[in-house]
Amino acid sequence: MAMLKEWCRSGLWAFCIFCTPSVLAAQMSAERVLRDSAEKYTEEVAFKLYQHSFEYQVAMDSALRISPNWAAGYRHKARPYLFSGDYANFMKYMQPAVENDYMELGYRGWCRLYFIKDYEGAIADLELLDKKTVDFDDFPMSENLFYLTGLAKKEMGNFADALVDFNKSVASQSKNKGEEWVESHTWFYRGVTYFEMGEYEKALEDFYRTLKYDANSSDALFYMALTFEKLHRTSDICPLLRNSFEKFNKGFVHKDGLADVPNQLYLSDLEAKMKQYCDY
Amino acid sequence: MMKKIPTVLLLLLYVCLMNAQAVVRTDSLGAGQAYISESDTFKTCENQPVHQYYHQDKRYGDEMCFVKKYIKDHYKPIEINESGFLTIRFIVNCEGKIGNFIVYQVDDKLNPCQFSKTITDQLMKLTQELQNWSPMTLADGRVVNYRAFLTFKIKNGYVERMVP
Repeated sequence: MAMLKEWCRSGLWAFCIFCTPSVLAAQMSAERVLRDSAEKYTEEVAFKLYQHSFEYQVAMDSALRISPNWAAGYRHKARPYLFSGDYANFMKYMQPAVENDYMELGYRGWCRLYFIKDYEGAIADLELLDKKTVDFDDFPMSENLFYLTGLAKKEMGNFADALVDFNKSVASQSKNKGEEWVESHTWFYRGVTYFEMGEYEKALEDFYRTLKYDANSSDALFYMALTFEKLHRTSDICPLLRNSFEKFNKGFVHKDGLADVPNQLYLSDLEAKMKQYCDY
Repeated sequence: MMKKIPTVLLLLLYVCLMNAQAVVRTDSLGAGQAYISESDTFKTCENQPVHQYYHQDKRYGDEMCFVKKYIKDHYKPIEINESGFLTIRFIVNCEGKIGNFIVYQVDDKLNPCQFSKTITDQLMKLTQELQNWSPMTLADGRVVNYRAFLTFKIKNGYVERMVP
């Protein structure tokens, strides 16, 4: 009897050892097939519909019914709510997205920063993502994570903390290939942070660096003029404003069709300064 | 023959899902914690689709900063322990008139909430006073209706920022 028990126990162990990986592999394979079907359905049906329509939401529900753990599917469902200013529903559908794939924290944090202006929430999402991905630098929506947290902290008025993050971002972006790989807005917003802190010489350095990599930046030219104003270098101001105005009118201004970017440059601000310094 | 089985199964699944659309339940846009303030006189232009604000650059007069300035100059802050985001969504018709208002309210953690009537009514009134919306003109010259919204980031009764 004891031998039979021992034999059964060994058999059970053998079954577990040899069959569990196969069962798990089969399950993963089945999930993969369903995920592929949901993606195909979304591309061929949902993405051909107007994203603010009821039909689009129905199509996304159908895709999520095929693959209920598909994080990107929840993101696709959530997005139109964000563009409608309905943040409760946006968060409702982004929650299962981040629960199923923590990389979605990057998208949610990015949206909270740029579109909702929920800076505390953006920092929480982005810093949590950073903790979960210690082995590599994150670039949510192709922007360096420390650049995004730096922007959020700057917008909250925490300039010292923002500087720490902008410096981390510069280090992260330049570590393998050098300074020219740093996205020019990183220099610009670090310059604006120095400007807000009253460190005008350092601000100027960063605006010069912005222009080195993006010679058409009307934003950097305008902020450079504001910095010279603070330094009482009055004769330098008008040429910079004229240059900024020219670039602005050619469309070289940092902007987004969905919402104003931090320190959005408006034509009326430029014109007001030109009236003051250029007899505009 | 065996090679065709997965393709056939996928096709069947696809057809079933196409037919299943009609019975799937979903939340429609505009549902949730919203209330609608109807205007008696406002009408969308007939036979014109309703587009979205981000389909054109120019929205209010020359620039959106004038909206922000108007709200900043006219909103009377109240000392109250209420923070979050209040969104007023509306349609701009082909004449640049606004109506069909919907209000969404969330707290600073983005959970549904209800702001005091003094805040909501004041922001609704100020939004309705904005009269310089630019109608949307498409590339083919058609002037159409579009949906726009203003979000007010409220901190302890003050309007701290605005979106878009």
